[in-house]
Amino acid sequence: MRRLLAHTADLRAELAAPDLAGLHAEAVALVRETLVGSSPVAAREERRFARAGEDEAERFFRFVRELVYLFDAEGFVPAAARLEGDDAVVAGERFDPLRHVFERQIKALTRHRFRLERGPDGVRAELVFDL
Amino acid sequence: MTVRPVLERIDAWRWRLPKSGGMRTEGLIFASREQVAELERDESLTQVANVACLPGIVGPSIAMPDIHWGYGFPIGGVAAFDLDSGVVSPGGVGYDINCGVRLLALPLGVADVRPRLRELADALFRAVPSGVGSARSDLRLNDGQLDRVLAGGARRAVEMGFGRTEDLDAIEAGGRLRDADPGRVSKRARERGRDQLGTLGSGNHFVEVQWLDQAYDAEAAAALGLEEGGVTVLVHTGSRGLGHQTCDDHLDVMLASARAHRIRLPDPQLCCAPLGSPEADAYWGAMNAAANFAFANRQLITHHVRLAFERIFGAGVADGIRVVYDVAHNIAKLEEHEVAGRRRRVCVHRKGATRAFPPGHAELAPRFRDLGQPVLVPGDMGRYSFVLLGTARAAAETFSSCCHGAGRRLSRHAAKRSARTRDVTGELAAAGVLVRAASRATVDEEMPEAYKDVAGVVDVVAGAGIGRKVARLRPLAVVKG
Repeated sequence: MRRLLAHTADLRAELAAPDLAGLHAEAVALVRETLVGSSPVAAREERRFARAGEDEAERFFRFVRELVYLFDAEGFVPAAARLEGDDAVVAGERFDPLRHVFERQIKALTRHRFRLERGPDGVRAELVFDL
Repeated sequence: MTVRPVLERIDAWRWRLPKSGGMRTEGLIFASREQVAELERDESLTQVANVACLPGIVGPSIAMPDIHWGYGFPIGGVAAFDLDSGVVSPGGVGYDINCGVRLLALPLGVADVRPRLRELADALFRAVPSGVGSARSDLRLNDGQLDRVLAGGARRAVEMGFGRTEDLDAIEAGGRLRDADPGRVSKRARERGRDQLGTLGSGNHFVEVQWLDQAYDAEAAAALGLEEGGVTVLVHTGSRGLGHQTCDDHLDVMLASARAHRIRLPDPQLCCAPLGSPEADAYWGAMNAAANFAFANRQLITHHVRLAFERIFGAGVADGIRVVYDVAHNIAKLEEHEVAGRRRRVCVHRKGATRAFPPGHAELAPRFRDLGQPVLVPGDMGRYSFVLLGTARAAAETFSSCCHGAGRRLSRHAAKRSARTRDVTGELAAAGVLVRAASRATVDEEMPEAYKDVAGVVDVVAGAGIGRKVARLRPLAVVKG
């Protein structure tokens, strides 16, 4: 589940999933939709990176931040993600103006209001992006 | 810790946010009664209070009338810090380091441009890459070249053939910040910025062709090279991915630094380091380098705007395009100000606020010394923008700061929803403003109604005496990301 929350200047969203893997998938979907809307994105290539951070919240924060970097530095649009031990693997493809509609750029994932909480229904996170 | 804001009215333009909770100083908000009513609906006043909690803050935590909810500092926030007990915070500068505005004056009248506006809008859209991962195919810098841009700013861009030496006199700090340390800019930041010099990006960034429809002070306007009916171009962009990554890199360091120095943070995005600490020094060198990248970026865009005009109006017109001024509105600067009757050197953070030195200030280039620092205030793409000048009152009250724009009133999501069944580009064309954009989403999110009326913002700063109105500029054509 993902829903947009009020924020005047930027993009604020809440994500929820039964588990961490699901939460990462929701984050991928949020970033993809923010960048290219409903354009179909194929899992043609993969990017693997270490999930660094002192706790699960920090590791999740850095995962989402890496998605922002991959698009800005390489034009890599995420389609899906999986967690493999200490690594995250993101599948996707490079932005193709013939098949993808550009919606908007994401400058950064901010730490404002960032949270990741576990509850009886699973995991929930709040994110604010600078656009 | 969240402080619940309750404002006290000082006069028609000023409001006090009294100290409460962990606030070390009070807040000072410049706003009309109507603007305050809007502010109380979101988190921006809480953010003014949060900034007031940071150690070493000197004077009040200040907000300009274009204040709106940001992340960390409010957008429109100004705060100064003592050099011995204060901090520097990347959240007080923002991701888009030295996001700023440059105004160009053209040797053309509105009647010259209107018949060729479509051609001109297309030429500008082609000349200045915008939108997704916008990059220049004609310029990719290697590490050595990038280092020289990071150290030299707009000055280096001119040395590379992008512009003229006289352009530099009209840029804040001559377009080059001497504290830049390119060695503090990470490999990842370099990767993001390497081919983005001379590009616009997306969001609220733009290149806008305008005409001056009203001079409030014809003498000051003339001194700036502006006249009624004259055509101008306003460029709004910053340090692109290089700046965004630089902020990200140093936020991580500052979070650890704040913990190590036992600084209580009301918002993690306000993470900071004591001025003079190794972490602060590292950020300072990198931030100034990224700011130089932004000055160079606007310089390259100026060059390509000149080429676009040359293609349509000939070399004579391109040669006559002058830089009126270039200001940063996301930056921290070391400046001397009078505080409680004595001169002090402080670190002023401006997050969505413009420096506005008064007439006579030693840091102004000679041509602006009698006028005061030009303040460029873009509005939305349907209405108007303003040119103002800095005042002595701003020097006394706001660490020589003024507003930077209209300020959003609708979220991007709300704006897009409202535009779903409309043709915003068509509506603007019908009103005489041509829009060229890389994405429909950007146009919808940036539609005029998404912003406050910038005239209301300017009326507050003029009424309060922290800015002096010079001229109003109307849009003719807009290139958006």
